[in-house]
Amino acid sequence: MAVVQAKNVSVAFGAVTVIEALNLDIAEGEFIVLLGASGCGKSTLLNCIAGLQEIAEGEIWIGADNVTWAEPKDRGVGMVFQSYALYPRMTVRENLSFGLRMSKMPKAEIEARVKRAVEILQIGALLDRRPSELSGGQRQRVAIGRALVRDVDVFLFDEPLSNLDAKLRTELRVEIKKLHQDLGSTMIYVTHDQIEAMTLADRIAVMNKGVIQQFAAPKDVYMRPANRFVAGFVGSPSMNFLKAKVADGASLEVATPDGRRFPLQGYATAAPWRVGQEIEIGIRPEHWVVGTAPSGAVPVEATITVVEHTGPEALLWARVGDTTISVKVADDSGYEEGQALRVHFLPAQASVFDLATGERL
Amino acid sequence: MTAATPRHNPNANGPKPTSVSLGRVGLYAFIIVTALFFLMPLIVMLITSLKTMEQIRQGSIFELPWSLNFDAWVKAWGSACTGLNCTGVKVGFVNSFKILIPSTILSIALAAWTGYMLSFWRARGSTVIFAILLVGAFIPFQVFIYPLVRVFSTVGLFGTLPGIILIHTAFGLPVLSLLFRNFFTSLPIDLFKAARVDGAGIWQIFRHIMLPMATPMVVVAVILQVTGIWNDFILGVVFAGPANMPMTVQLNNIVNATQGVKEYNVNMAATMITAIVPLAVYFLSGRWFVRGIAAGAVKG
Repeated sequence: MAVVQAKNVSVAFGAVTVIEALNLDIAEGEFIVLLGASGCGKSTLLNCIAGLQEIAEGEIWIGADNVTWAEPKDRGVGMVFQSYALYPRMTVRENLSFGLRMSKMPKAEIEARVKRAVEILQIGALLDRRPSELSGGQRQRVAIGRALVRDVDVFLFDEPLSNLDAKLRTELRVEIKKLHQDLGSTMIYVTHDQIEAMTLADRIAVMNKGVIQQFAAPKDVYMRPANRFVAGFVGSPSMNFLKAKVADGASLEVATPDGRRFPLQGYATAAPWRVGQEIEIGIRPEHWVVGTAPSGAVPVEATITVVEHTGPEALLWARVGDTTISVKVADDSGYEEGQALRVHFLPAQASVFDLATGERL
Repeated sequence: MTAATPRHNPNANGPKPTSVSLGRVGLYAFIIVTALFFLMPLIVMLITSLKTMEQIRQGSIFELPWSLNFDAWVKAWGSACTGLNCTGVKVGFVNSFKILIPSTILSIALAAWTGYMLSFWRARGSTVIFAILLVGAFIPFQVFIYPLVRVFSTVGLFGTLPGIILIHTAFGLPVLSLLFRNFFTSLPIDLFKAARVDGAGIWQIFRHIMLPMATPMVVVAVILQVTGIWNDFILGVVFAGPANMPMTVQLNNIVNATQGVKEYNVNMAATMITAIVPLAVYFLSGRWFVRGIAAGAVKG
């Protein structure tokens, strides 16, 4: 259990800057997810914390120690890899105890720790097998066990579930969550999977091009994205964006390209609005209201182009002017291609961004 | 096989392959001829070594020996003459092993470590070292001989057992290091990272994780080195010194002796004895050799 801090960290591969002046403050016992598309620097940041990647500038602190130049083994971190990275020529037991044997721990102590990890992860039956004789889920359990036996303060997960099939992924996700609840250790988890991020994290750090875009609780990231990138990246299908202009800053009145003017009553602004400022209004697919409009809702006229049935609900793709929006509806009967559709959104649930800077307004 | 009880895929189409086609006959004929072509010298050597000189003088080289006669083998091993010494090839046999074993172990150990350092640790300047190794692997070694003679005689290693061992180790390093580097580069980097996080040091990762995984590569390296060093002639004749002459040199001295009668049966027997070690290596490890090559020995 330890505080993890990245202070002004920059990383460069040759001339390419991968991470630039990044700051991250992780509290003791927190479960943090680094979320981003591949190449955004999230794995690099994790490697920096683990000590596997040298940083060009800045400092890494774990607990009360500046570990910027410390060896990985001296940082009190355990790491779980996407490829499992189990030692192929060793049995599960040897895999688990390898780190402890290398540090010349007494045999009895090693046995006790292996036993405890095996109980937590329920892999007792696998102890004498080789990694090649295990399934993907079992391998990843062993890999987690390898961090567990070392009694580390900080667990680092590098896309641990990405190589597993959907069902196993859900199972192990719940197990990791439970492990965090039981151990209370600080955990940092890299993924590009939004469901993993939303379900596991206490806080999510959304990254893009080596910069943290937003660092907040999953609900805030989803409901109040800090900028256009976060809004578009988190959520599936993606948030819908309608272009507009600010007509009156004080009353939050906006004008759409088709000449309509309406106030965004109930929207909590994050920054002052200028008259004439070009903006985008973001509405999540499930936030559209079809049918009777609640008070204060803004109507939008659309034409259905495609109807997708997903089982419990349907996804309607529709045209509004020259943009396409997606609308999630619970009742999937009675919608047809070409049909006119009137949908409403509540300004309180929408997000408004500056078109030029992408920042939340 | 009748249509009522198909034991193969009933949806298979195309003609049923006939068991003997003309192409197949031609293929086997070619293989047999090729095998005979390479086996013939060996057969001739073997039967000649078992003949008496009297039978050899009668001239037919393919005629089988009149009786199994191992006298030539005994003489070749123990009392054939090279100039004034009449001690057979046994001295050379022992010398060759004295050179072979340390050279093989030393060169492979160093090459595995070099390959490991070049693939996982990428120390400053490792690309330069890698380039030098590449060049070293392709320069004809005759170029090095004279300068090395000068260097070795200056430091007193010329004509000594440690000297020739050092020479073989050095000449084996470039190719073997490339072999190991390519193998280690093909392993997932996550293994190395996991071991570092686990607290293993540079040596522990090599000893406990990487080297056990490299077993097929070690076998390939052993085969390359054993056959290469055993068959070496020029380095042995130049660097080993008279007391440590390897078997190949001694064999040459026996076969090319200009005095006395040419004892073809003894020469053949001496050659066979000399060839036994590489032959045994190939016979015992052919399967491993192929596996090693498949596992990345020749991958760029």
